[in-house]
Amino acid sequence: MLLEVKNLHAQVAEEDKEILKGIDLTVNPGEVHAIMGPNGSGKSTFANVLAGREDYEVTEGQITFDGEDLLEMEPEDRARAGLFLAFQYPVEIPGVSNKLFLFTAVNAVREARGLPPLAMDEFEALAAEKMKMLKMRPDMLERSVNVGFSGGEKKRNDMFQMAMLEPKLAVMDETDSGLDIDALKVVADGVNRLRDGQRSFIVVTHYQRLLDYIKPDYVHVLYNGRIVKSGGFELAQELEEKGYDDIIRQFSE
Amino acid sequence: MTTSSASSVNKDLPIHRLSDTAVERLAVRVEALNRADTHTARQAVRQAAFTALQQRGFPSRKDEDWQYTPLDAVLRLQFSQHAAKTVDGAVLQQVAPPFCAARLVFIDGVFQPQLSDDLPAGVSVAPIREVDEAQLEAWQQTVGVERDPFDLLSLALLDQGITLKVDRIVETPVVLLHWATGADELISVRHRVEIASGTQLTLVEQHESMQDVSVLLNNCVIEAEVADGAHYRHLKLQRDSQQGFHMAHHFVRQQRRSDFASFYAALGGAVSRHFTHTFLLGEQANMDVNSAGLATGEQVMDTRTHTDHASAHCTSRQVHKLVVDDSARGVFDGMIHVAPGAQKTDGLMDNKNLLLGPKAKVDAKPRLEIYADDVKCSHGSATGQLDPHQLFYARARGIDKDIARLLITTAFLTEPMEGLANAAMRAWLQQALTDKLQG
Repeated sequence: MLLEVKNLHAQVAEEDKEILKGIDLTVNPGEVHAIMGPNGSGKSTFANVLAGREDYEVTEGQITFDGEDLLEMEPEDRARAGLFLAFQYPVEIPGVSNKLFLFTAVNAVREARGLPPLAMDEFEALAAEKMKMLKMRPDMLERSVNVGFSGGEKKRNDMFQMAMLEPKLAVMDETDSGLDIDALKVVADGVNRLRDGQRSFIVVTHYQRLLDYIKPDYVHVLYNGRIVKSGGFELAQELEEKGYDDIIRQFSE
Repeated sequence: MTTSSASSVNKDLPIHRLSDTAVERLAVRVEALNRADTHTARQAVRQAAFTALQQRGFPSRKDEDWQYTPLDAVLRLQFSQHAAKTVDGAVLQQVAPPFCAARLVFIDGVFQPQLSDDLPAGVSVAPIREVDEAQLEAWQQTVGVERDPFDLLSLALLDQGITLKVDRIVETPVVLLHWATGADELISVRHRVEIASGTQLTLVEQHESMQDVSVLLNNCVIEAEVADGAHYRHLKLQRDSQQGFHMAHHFVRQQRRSDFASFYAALGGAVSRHFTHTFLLGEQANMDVNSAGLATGEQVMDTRTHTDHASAHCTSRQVHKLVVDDSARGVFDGMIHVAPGAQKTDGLMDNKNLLLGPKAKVDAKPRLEIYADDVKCSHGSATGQLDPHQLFYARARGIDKDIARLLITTAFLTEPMEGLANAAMRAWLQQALTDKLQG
């Protein structure tokens, strides 16, 4: 297995309010898992805890990633070990070019994997290839990270980073319902292009429509900090028809 | 009633906050200059400025303009002079900017023709001593009027510096390299730049010092006259010693449709202050004044501007940034003053500061004074810490925390440079900032 989450409890750092109340999840290589659930159920928290965001504090439980204790690792070490978080809102970094940002990232990840660093021209050639695949304009590489990008362009840029960093597990935090259909297609397309039978995905989303494009192997419903229901793709379709009302009735405290 | 000849000054009157020794040494210097220079109008300027300094004295923290910038250490200087040090031309070569330029070298304020390049066509240079009578008259008449004490000090010691005249479009930048050896604890240089109508100059003002230089005050004043339709580009790299004091004034008088763009990179000085005072005198003049400073250790770095919109239809743009680490202090003070009748003024002033150290501090005072009714002016100031979202985003891509900090801080500092059209100049200043960041 690639990822094993056991009885994960987490809260907002320095606040005594538990958000994740005992999550168990196992992801094997090549699997695509979707995590759905109503607003406020803890979906985005789960995605961010996996990536190591310091806003959250893990109070109980274990996470094993590729044989290592994930919770002991710094965010950059998790990324180097092959975990990638696609951000709900990719961050703008004025003044730092996409090229410098990603060149630094790619070589940091390569170093951790025991690979020689890419020279700038090798990096540029690789970037050009991936950008072409993702239908990105070449000048995006020269622009500041996500600055002045549309919502869709930001998503595409995140997918580009994912393609360049070649993670073992990509966690897609697509919690927000406000994403337009084009941005969702960008995400779905990015995921589908990188599915190779080995790479795994956790797709966190509120709506089924993203899953229509991705067709996950497993669907889990997160509610009130716990996975309350798991199933195949048909579970997503069921939720789309009936909404979360049944779940809320059944599992509310 | 006492009378004094034009060549003598009253050594017995103190200057507030300066030691008796320092006052006496200053007086001796002014007298020596006036003995060596029999031109009565120049003697009169020095004497009047020295007398004004005696009347005004140096400010304390109670003075509003000096509230955040401590002068105690500066004013403890005795203005001693030591044996001259030889300067190796190779050392000067190491600080040469990596772009084609004509360089004029000043060592401890003294112009060094043998170390300087030939001037590009269209530029002429004369000693500041040979400034015309009208200018001397203008100085003398304004010594008592709201002149900053360091500006007065510069006039009292009027001697070193040049008048640089431009009478055609000059593409080659002119570099003024100021190199301090520590032989003189008081370096006072005054330059004038006169850019004729429709012409253009890029001036690079560079301040550097020897590695082990002792404590000194580098007092530098530049006055620029930018005639109708002229373009004045100014780039300043201040890399004085970390123990030294840097006090600078840049007065720029802009006529109709003239264009002035300035970028100041602040790195050196235990205490440094760079004041840009722009007078937008003719209609449709444009000003673009930006700066980036990186204060570390216990440095105090003061960047200030006064923008006088004296005429209608002028535009001013400013972005000032300070990164303050350790227990350093940053000061930003900016005033946009819009005179009655300066209608359609368009003024924008932005100040952003980044605090890296837990004891770092910035005092910012952006101000507007508007006496016209049809203007568009705004100012903003924000001080914060590194954005944790940016930091996490970079780390989530595998970038080491320290490298992520460096990337983001460098980007913050170099953003105001993006307007600099010349990529080599931009790269030069960025490198200077990055070198210090990586310290």
